[in-house]
Amino acid sequence: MNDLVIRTRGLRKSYDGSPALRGIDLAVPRGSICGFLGRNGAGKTTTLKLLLNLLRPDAGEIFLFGDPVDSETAAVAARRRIGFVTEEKQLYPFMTVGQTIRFTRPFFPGWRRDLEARYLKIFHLPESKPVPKLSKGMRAQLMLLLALARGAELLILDEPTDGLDPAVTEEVLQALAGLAATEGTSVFFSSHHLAEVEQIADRVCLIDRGQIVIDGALDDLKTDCRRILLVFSGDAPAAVAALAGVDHVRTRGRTASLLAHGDTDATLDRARELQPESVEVHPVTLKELFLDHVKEA
Amino acid sequence: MLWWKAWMETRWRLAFLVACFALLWAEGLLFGVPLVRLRAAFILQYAAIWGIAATMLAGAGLNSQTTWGTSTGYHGSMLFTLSLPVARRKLFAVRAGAGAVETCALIVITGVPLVRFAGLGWSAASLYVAGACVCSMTAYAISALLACVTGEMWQLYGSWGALGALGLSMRYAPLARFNPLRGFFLSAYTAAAHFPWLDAWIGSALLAALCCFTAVRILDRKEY
Repeated sequence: MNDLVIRTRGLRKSYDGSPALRGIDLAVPRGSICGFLGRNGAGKTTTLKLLLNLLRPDAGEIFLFGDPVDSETAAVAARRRIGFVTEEKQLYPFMTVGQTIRFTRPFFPGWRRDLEARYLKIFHLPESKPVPKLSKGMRAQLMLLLALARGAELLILDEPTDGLDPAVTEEVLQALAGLAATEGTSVFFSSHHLAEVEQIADRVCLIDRGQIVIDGALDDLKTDCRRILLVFSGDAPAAVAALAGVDHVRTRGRTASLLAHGDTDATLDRARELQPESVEVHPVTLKELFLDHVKEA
Repeated sequence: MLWWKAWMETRWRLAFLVACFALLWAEGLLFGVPLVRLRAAFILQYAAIWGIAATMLAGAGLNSQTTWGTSTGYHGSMLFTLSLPVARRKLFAVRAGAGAVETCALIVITGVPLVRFAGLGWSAASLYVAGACVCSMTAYAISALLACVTGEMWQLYGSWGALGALGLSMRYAPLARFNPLRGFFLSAYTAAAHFPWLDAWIGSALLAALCCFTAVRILDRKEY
């Protein structure tokens, strides 16, 4: 368990009786960059807030750095090793950029002055500028600086590139990838931008309606899954949905699109027994995986 | 650094309140109000402003964190505060402590000239001001408690409503002697020639402690 920076077991959370999380089991290995995907309202922010003890679970367990987070003391100790970027990216309106940095610095003994100076320069953040006068993108950059410079072992980022222009987004993604590669920093970040996740993440976790529907290494997922397109002479038979190894099926007239995992050759053999006119096999993208899982129901 | 943040957060409120007292003095001095009326008005106005000052300086804090003005909702920066490696009780203690010190400083700075002006000696003036500080903590603690459960606007409205209710409850004789607001009334001294406020001090301290205890319990359980 010590090789996992984040581990949850059976995490449940409801709001006014309406379930937001229905038994989340997460496992994020140390040093990995894990993209946390899901539609709006799927439970991403709730999960992140539970990890930081801003919310309390109805049931289940949370382990950070191998230790249970079951008390305020444990949560404080864990937060000392975590950098967090909130979805709102709001900071104190009565401070300037420089004051915000000077306020945050003493809470983290491992604060990295070199990273602070580096990101101030990269993000072009003027230290004397009051926070309310920063654009949304600049506020996001300041929050990222505060998270990255604290020398954290784990970064928990809620939509970190939201509001950033493409150039700065690229800088941020490179910074995250660089920290993971050089410092061994683990990154757990939620995002709607699948291309960003594909660019830097080595693991992906997809949550839908409060449940984890995909969790694994991105390369494994891509290797393991295939899109099989079948074209029949008449309407696609209902039997395609019952093929073993098939996660999702979409049929339209004569065509059936299958998302298969595991031994796709065996699945292909079984599909051929249904005597389609043509069979095509394609690798899948993260976007396809995402859409196939969240478009159901 | 939490003390510094609390100061940054409240300094303009404190400046506003100091300006209010300066205006009160200027009003009296510039317009030549008769001394007797001036004293009576001062005492009432000061008592009212001390109560309001306490509720305002208890404002901002964990939920809203705005320097000035009222807002109906919560300010998003509270998530940043709560993500720091600091226990919620410490966050509350520092914020509440800073505001309480400011409230007491305001009362001391503005109260001593007032009671000297009313003709009290130094020892009586010190006692009155100390009592006003103790009693202002009730208003402060009510406001701090409400800051844990409501947005900033309702925190202020609620605190002022509670102060109004305390004022009305003074008409109920059995409890009047414990009413924290009695500690503000200098007229009680001039009528009785002594300070009949010990009961009010005890009542105030108990009520403030109860509010703070409740606030801490709420913060321990609150979800953000």
